[in-house]
Amino acid sequence: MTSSSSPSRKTLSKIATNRLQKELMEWQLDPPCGFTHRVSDNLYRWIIDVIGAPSTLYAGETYQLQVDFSDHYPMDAPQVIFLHPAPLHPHIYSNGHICLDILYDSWSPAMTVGSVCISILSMLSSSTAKQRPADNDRYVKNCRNGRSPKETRWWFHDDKV
Amino acid sequence: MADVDAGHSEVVSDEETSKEFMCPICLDLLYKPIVIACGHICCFWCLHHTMDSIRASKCPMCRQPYIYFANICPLLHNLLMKTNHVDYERRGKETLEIEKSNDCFSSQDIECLNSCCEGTDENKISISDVICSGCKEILFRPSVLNCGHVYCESCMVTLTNDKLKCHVCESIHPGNFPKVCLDLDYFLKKKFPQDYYHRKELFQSTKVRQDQYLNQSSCTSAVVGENSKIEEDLIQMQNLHPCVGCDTCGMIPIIGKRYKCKDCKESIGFDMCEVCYNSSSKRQGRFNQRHTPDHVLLLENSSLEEVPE
Repeated sequence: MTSSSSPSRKTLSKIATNRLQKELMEWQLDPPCGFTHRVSDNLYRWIIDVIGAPSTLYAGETYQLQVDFSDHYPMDAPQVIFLHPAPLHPHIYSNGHICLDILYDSWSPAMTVGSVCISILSMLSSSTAKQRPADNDRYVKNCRNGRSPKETRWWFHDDKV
Repeated sequence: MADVDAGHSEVVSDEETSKEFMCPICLDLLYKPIVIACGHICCFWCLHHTMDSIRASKCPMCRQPYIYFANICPLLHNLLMKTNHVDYERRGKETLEIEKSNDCFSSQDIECLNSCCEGTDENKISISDVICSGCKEILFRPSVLNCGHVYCESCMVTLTNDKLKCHVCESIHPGNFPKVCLDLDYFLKKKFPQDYYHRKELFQSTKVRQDQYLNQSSCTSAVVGENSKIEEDLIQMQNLHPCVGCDTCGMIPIIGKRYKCKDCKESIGFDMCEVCYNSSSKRQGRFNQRHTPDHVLLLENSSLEEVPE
């Protein structure tokens, strides 16, 4: 067997569509606590409201996540960013990019939008200081041409927050 | 369970089953299920799509590395066909449609455990659907070999002299003992509680066997060792054939010599690794290739050997 005959684009987008429909249905039945999906016609871009968890630095604050899926979903990770204004957090850049391994190298196709949301909320909740990453300005400047965070070579060094 | 409320409870348990045997990739009912060596289950195509073709793949659930694209598990296939008949047929039709449009098929002739199931109540599964290929009793802590056949974890010990060889198909299981398939184990516990616990009691009272098993099960650390060996082999990049898998044992990518069939016409091709080539196995291709023993296999040099990394 050779994988030169890898699945066609049509097949892939069918896989992605089926899977996203299943996730949306599951979300509507049982949405993760603290998140609201904004109703839209676009299955491939989800806008999700996040409410900071009680008794954390972000309690009561609302932010928006934008989740974009490619035809290769779920084999490829979705692109997840915060819309402006992004929460002040040591791993979240002011352009909304999030430094979180599961969104890049550690993505697994068994993860879902729901599980990603919970990971992001957990990252917010464990924060002890409302501040930007040390290299924020440099990074944001480098991304000015509209680069996706998925093209960044992330270096995951901090497992505490 | 009383016969009176059987009608109602059947519906409920069916729904539970569909949640239970849900593929973690497509989030639909498993179709042509494959059990990875770590015990997790995926659909044939879902698993194939997620596999890495240039280095060891990682289980989507537990990230344990593996390199063998195992065979479809006939026992689970039959079980799902019976417990979720309507959904399973739907999945079959959907899958076949995609396969036709890509002109690439999954294995079509999965051995039928109970070919006489026609005419009987399809939803009724019995102990005979879930027996161990070794002891022929209800499975207790089931593990699935690379060939797709299912044994009790404790019965697997009896298979091994030097290598793990399946009693049913005589295939050699590559690598160490596969882990228990917990989804199937949970199902058995729930569906046949009395028989399952009877087996469990018997197992626990058979002290000798248990000790024997415990000695063998120190393989957990060996598994880790083996995986790091896999990684090592792959890192070396020597004799590694990117994007090529063995149709007999399922090794992806092939490490070592690669033999390519020059008579198979299917675009996906038919390949074998050195071990399978020398074992003269008669297993058919993973993708329904019409490979026959009189086809000619040629040594093919597509490895990365010459490419400096």
